[in-house]
Amino acid sequence: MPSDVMQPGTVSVMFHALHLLLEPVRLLILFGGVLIGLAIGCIPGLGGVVGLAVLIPFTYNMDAYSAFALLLGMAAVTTSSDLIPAVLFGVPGTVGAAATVIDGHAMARKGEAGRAFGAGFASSLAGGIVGAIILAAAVPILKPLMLAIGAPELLAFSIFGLSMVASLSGKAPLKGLTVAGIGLMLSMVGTGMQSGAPRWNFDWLYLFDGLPLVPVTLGLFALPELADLAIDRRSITGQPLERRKLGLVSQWQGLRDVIDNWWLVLRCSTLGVVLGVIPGIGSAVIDWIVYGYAQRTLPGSDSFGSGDVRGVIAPESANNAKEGGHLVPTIAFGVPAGTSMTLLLGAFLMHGLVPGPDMLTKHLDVTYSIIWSLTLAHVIGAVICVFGSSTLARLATLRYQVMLPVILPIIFVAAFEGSRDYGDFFSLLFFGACGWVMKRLGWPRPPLVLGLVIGKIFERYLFISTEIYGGVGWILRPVVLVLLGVIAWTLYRPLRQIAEDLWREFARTRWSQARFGFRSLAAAAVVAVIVAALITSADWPESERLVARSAAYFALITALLNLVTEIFGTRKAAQPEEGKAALSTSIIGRRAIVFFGWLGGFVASIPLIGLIPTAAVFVFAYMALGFRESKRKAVLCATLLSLFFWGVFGHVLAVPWPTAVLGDHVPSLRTATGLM
Amino acid sequence: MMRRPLLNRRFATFFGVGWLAIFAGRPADAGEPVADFYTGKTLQMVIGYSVGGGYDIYARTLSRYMGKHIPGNPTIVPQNMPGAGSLRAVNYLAKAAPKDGSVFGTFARGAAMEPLLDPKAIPFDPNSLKWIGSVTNEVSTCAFWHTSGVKDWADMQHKPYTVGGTGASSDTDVFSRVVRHFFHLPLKLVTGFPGGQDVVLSLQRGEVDGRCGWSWSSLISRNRALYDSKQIIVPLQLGLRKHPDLPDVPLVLDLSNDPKIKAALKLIFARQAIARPFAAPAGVPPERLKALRDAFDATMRDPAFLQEAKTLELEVAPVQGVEIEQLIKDIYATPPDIVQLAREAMQ
Repeated sequence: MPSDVMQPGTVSVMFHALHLLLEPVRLLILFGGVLIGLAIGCIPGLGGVVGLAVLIPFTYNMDAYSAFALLLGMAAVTTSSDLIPAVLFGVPGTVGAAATVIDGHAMARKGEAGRAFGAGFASSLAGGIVGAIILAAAVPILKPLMLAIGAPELLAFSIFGLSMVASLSGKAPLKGLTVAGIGLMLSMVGTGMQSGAPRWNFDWLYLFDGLPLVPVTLGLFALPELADLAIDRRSITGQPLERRKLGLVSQWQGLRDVIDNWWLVLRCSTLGVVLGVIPGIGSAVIDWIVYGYAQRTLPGSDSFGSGDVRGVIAPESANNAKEGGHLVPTIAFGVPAGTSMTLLLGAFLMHGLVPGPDMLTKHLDVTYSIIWSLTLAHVIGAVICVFGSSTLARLATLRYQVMLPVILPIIFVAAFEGSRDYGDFFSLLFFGACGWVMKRLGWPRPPLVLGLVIGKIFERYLFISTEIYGGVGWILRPVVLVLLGVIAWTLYRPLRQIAEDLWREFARTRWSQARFGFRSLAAAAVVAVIVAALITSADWPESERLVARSAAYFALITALLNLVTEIFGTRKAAQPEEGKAALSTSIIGRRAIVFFGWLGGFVASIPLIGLIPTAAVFVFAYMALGFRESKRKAVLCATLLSLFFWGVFGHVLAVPWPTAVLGDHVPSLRTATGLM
Repeated sequence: MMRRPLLNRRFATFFGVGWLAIFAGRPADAGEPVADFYTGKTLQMVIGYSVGGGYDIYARTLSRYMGKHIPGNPTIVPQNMPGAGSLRAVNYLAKAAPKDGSVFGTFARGAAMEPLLDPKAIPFDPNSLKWIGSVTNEVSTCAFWHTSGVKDWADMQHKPYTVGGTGASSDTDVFSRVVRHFFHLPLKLVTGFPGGQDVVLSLQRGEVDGRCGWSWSSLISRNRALYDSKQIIVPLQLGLRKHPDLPDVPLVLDLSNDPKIKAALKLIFARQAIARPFAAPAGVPPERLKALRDAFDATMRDPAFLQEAKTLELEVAPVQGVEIEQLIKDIYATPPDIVQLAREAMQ
């Protein structure tokens, strides 16, 4: 087949596809897609998957070029605008912007929101274009390329992803490794794929398909930031922003940062494309893997986490490049590399296009129009973001009394998109509380997501590889050997570092001076949870136990070591974050309880009066009673927000709202509103 | 102070309009002729899977044409409610959904038989649903890559081979286990692939030799080129009847002479006869259920619907609601020893 597409015709097909796409109507459709995508990216929790689910039915009557212009125009840029709430509020706009929060939000707190925006948008653009170029260049060799990547190679890539835990654990390696192990265990929750036996699902229908990622990510990364906002009681920047720090001038500085780091952009984009090819590895972990990669390989990476612009550039470029990688198996073999691609596959079939060899010969023009759509969408998206964001950046100066009551319901409604089940609210709240405790006590959160996403992929390909290639046969494949070599080489230094630190830590341990506090309490609780998990999994079928219990034993060892260092270690007192006045523990505790109490009330009220009525009541109550804002403003915000939910989620997304007791007792209310 | 009342009024109007917009839904319903009930109504079509899959495409296509065949011409809005292999949607339909005829939906074809065949499955009362119809029946296959050396049923019985699966409870795994159990096949099942098409890719890499539980319609719509060029060979079909496209491929039911095994196979593959099922909660007023069933049947004859199904490469071989009801009744009347035989084969 490749010989067909290597003909000189390829270039002319490429430009023919561009020509098709530049027709005014299609360009307009693409533009519309980009606008929708940017909006979806801005709303915390909503990402390309939701956008595709909404838009695909609308493309029934379009031709294929227009349909993909709309769909990819939308999907491409959700990962460009998702950095806006990440930088401004520390709330990731999509699951893929969680890593951007770390340095992007830190920059905003330093008053460098504009620079973070500039760097983020420019690297998104660059990443998107690199992704498209790599995909275009790979078109002639897509088929042999995909045939060369078998189960062992996919397994090796997932190990590579997991190995990033070492650098994502920062200064708390034991905690990071423990959290990663727990993440792996969480990925086993649901139904075992080898025997179909239940694994830690508590006979709860919600958990049968495993933990949905959206509420977990929102809980881990969004709620803790908002909780701290409520506890520290300040606007995000701490002081009024100067206008010029938000304008184009400061964004220009971010752009220059990207140009200065062009080599980093290129490496991270390429890594994003490669990881994007692997089924199951999506933006939720690509950003963390690349962040870890950048942190490990860059000089002076100590500043990562405290507002280093490179911590924005790396994940943003990779996340926008990954769409190019995602499309490789989808186009070449109809194998979706992720949820968004599963949806896109449906769109392909709807338009009579069968992904596979035909896409590289008969429908080559469609393939290239897809690549052009990606490229143009990124350009249009970046331009809109640059000019729109200086206005948006002023949102960071919003007072927390107004911002919190409005953003929290959005997060709840978005979390409900996880699996449209009441359990999503529990997940959100549970992981929100865990995330906040982890943040306060210095437990790194990214390894959890890494374990949660990659765990299942790892288990899957471990079984397939060993079944097909024999116990160790899979290791001897050349690509696997190279990859494992790279992993060993990159892990050597951090692992030695960890071992040395541990040794020193234990050497300094004073066994007579035991200390018991929140930290040792948390460490002990983690040990208890792992032990409980080990006990409950003891009678699982052999094939379901292997990975789950190995992860558990591993986590148990690191958790025990951690417990010892927490109790007997000679830790210096925790330093408060920069520029933050230290609050006393009792005030922090009290305010945290109040904050999570409001959220608990939210969750408790949903089965009584329904989700949207709860959101309305919550906005009003939290604003007017919780923060003593004017009642008029509170009512206004509540009304606007419920109208927004009702229109966008109820009607455009056709969300089946959870049923409520009120609706059971007053059926006329249910039939009249459809909300309860 | 002069501005306040004005702001208040403007604001009050705004607020009022906002809530009016939320509450101005549909009028409450009363016992009335079918057409009156459905006029101006929005029907909820629950889909137990996410957007873009087979069930979703069938449901959405149906939703666009069925409304105009229901008296009163209601609008049908598809709503995806994925989870637990569509069990969530089944539970919603059977328990929570309004029983006034405003909700119906689609879910896994095996959902109604699963509780009978799997003692671990969540108990489910087959009488809690009223069947509206199935858009098509389906025939599944075992198919092999041309270099695997498995070319016909005799090869399947004698040469050792590997088939790929997508998880313990999927058709790929269950059907593989069933044929292996009843016919003592030298079949090795490697499971855990993320999706059916991943197994097909693995076939082409030469990692696995074949795939069982591969529906013929999806094989042909997604991989026609591989079949036409004889790179994929189909030595066995799984279902209650042969597919018209495959007159020469042996049907699993014809391969055993033991009446008990035959009965067990029938029980297991019965789900293929209702491949795209639609049902409403039990308790829907009988005249409205009849209206939905009639509308479904009429849609299956609607030339516009058939045309669109053809463009989307969707098979249409409708099964009526009453037929499904009978089928389910028959299944649940199967003697316990046959059920036990089927259970053992599926493990």
